[in-house]
Amino acid sequence: MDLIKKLQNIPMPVINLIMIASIAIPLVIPLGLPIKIDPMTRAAYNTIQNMPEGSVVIFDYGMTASYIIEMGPACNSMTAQMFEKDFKILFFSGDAQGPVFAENEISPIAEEFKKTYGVDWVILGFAPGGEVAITAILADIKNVFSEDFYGTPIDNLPLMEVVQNHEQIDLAIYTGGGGDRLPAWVRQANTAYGTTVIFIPAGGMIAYATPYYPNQAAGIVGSLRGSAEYELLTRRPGAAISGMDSLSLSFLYLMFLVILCNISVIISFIKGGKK
Amino acid sequence: MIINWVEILGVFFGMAILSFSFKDNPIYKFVESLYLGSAAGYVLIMNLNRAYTEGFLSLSKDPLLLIPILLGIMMYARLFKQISWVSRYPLAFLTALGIGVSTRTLIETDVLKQISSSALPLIVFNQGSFDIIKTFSNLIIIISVSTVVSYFLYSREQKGILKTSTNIGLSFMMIGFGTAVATSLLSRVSKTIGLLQTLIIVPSGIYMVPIMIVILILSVFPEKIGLKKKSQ
Repeated sequence: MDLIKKLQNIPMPVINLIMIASIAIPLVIPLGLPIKIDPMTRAAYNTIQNMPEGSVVIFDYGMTASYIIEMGPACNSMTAQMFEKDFKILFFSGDAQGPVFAENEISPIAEEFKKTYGVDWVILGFAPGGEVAITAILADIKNVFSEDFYGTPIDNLPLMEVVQNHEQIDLAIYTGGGGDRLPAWVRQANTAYGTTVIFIPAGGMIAYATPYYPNQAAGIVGSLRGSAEYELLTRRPGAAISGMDSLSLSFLYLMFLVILCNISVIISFIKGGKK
Repeated sequence: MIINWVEILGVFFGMAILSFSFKDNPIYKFVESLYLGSAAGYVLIMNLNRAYTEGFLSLSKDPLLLIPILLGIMMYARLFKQISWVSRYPLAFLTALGIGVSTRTLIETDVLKQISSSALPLIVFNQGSFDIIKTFSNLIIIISVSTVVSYFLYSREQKGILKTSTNIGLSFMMIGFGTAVATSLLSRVSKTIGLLQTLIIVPSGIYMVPIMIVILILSVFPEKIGLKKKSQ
């Protein structure tokens, strides 16, 4: 009984310290655990791979400081894959922080693939308004953005002479943690115009994105795990792959905690303790 | 060695956030407030900039923009008690617009296509041979969809077969909620991995240990250092 009481009263700092250690140790001493690629991630990769060269993509880059670690690697790998296939990419964001992160993360990749800003890719900027903004952008981009993120008039960008609305857009990608934006993209891009949609959601949003796969969303690259899988598929190993050992070990620890909690509750219940 | 103050500040802020794992403390609260304040300020400026460039500056090209600008200004009426009722009009307009835009494809997206997606073959053959995994997977989808839907049948008393069905549906829902919680945990752990990766990888990571010791002392004994008043 004493042991059960002790288990039920482990101090929170001890639990947290072990959690931090289970994350930090594999970062210093990699365990090399295997990474299995999820069919949803592979579907996203294959969708892009099977699209013709020069396809036009609208990328809703809902990245914030808290999401960049989780989905940043997947976005970078996907952007590199698209640049390799000469895709034209239009970045915008429904989150105010998004364009800044797009500038920081995408510029080096564009340089690596020798892509010209304004010709091969643009950052349109911040578009508040949720689903209404998505609808407006797909109907007429110039109606929503008169200038890009850097203040250049949109008419001066060669790419924007070609791309005006949904008719020229072949693929829509959404990344972020906004639960309302996932169905919004399916409703406004896929259902309304038949545009292919791919999601790179935050961990908490994977469960909400899954019902749309595979008929309404062509692929889902979820959280850090999806990022690692995508890095593996595109052969661009980075931060996500190196974090997978930590993820596995910390989840083993979490599973251990859940089992421990349940065992102690069941034993105390059997022995006539309070629920 | 060149000291990179940006990295050191990053290490300090990262460690300050992690210090909450041990105890709520003034250093954590300071860093949290700093983040919230800077993020709120940034969002405010971005919104104002957007309203200025896409609204006021474009007014000469499109005079109709005056309507959303006026509606936007009316929103701020809620700051003044006497005329706060004025803000209800733009709010009503925004709500109606949102509902209208989403409803045009709502039935097709979230009802018809979801139903057609769950209408699956009960026995699956793959290249001439029986695919047990896919068959089982389809069976689970069909049973879970029908039993979960039965849980929301409120027009009949839940007894007999309906009771069994709703119980099965409830179990499937619990599994679904469990999955949502697990994926949320995935998100939280991923953020910690990223933070620790930054702390370990950056050249200024060598400052991590002394900064960690300082923050730990400050966070565990805030009263002794004078960061917090002693409780009476």
